[in-house]
Amino acid sequence: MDGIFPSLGDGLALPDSDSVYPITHPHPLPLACLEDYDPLMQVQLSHPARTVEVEGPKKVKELLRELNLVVEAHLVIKGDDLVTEDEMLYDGDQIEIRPVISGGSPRFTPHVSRLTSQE
Amino acid sequence: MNCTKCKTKAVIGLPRHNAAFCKSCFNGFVHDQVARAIKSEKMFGREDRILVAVSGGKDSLALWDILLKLGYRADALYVNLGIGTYSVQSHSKVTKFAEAVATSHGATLHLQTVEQEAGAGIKELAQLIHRPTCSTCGTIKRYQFNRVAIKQQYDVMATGHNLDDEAARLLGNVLHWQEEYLDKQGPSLPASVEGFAKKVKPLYRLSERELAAYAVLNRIDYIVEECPMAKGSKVLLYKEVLNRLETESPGTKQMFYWGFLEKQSTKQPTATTMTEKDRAVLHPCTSCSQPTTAEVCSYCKMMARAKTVATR
Repeated sequence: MDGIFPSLGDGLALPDSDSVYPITHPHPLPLACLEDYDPLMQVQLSHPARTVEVEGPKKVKELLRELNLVVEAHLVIKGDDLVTEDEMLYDGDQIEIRPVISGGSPRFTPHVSRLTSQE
Repeated sequence: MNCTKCKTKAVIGLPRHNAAFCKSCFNGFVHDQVARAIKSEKMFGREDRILVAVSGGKDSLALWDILLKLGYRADALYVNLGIGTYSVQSHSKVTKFAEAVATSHGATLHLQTVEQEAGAGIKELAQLIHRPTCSTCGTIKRYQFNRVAIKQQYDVMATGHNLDDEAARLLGNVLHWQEEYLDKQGPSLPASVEGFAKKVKPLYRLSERELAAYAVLNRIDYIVEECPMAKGSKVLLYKEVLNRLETESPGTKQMFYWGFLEKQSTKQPTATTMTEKDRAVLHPCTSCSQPTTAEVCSYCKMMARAKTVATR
């Protein structure tokens, strides 16, 4: 059989380990860990592109202040929608903070709770 | 926060106007600001053919979108600068916008490639002639836009310079007391001599944040990444300083730039106007015929120098 179970001949097949358990998550998490797992707010930033996790709930203006970002130089996008500074953001929300200055932010040093990825 | 006009949920707050708008009312606000700029500065009329300089960024694509929606005859020119993946991406954003929006309004996109015109990309040219990349880029873009506007007989050339761009430039000129540049800081520059197209900046009443919001709300796919050549630019620092002031004291940027424009307009007329000054010092370049103060224009000098160095 092609695809998930590559053929070993004579009708025998072994599971393709990468297909069954993707390399990035080689072992399923124990149930206890899943119960304790509380997804934080995922905040996508630019210049350089990276994602940080921030604990909610908090208002947009509080998030910007925590990240040391100036309101006038950024837009906050929740999902596909623009949100105003008084909007409340919660754990699990997907947020993008988009710089509006052409050419990017020259001096930016965010203070964040957790850095999850950096490109 | 609710919309100041229709009281539905707002998507953006504008502290400098002490207002907030929903998508529909915000679009109305943006279109109204551009219409006011065009009228008050006598930029162009309904019959004029406009050439918009587009880069793939939010300001120029928003400008093209707004002018088409306001019913103007606006075509665009994109100059591919040859800055690696940045130019590949920006080129793609411009052509996608042209196909998705502009074509349905009957508008045309003109394309120019620096590498085809000059034999090398911006970065390589700047290295060859030992000049800063941004200065080389500025000279080439200004030259090519003007040349296309004149050759294709457009009445006016429009750029996406916004309130932040103009306020930052004014701050730079004032900090260095470059008074000779202040005359050319207006949003409408006349075609002072033959060979120069009229240049206008219809977005000077809108901030960078408002234009980014317009692009996001109207699903205009623009290049968010910074130009790799612009890192560390002084203009970015001036913009950052002005945005800090604006956040603490809303309205600072418009008071600074619009106040300057008002002072310029009420200033006692000097002995010679800008047009008279231009006519006194500009004449056709002996190589390409575009107006210049020297015998050969800076673009032709630059290209000649690049060719000499490249053939060594």
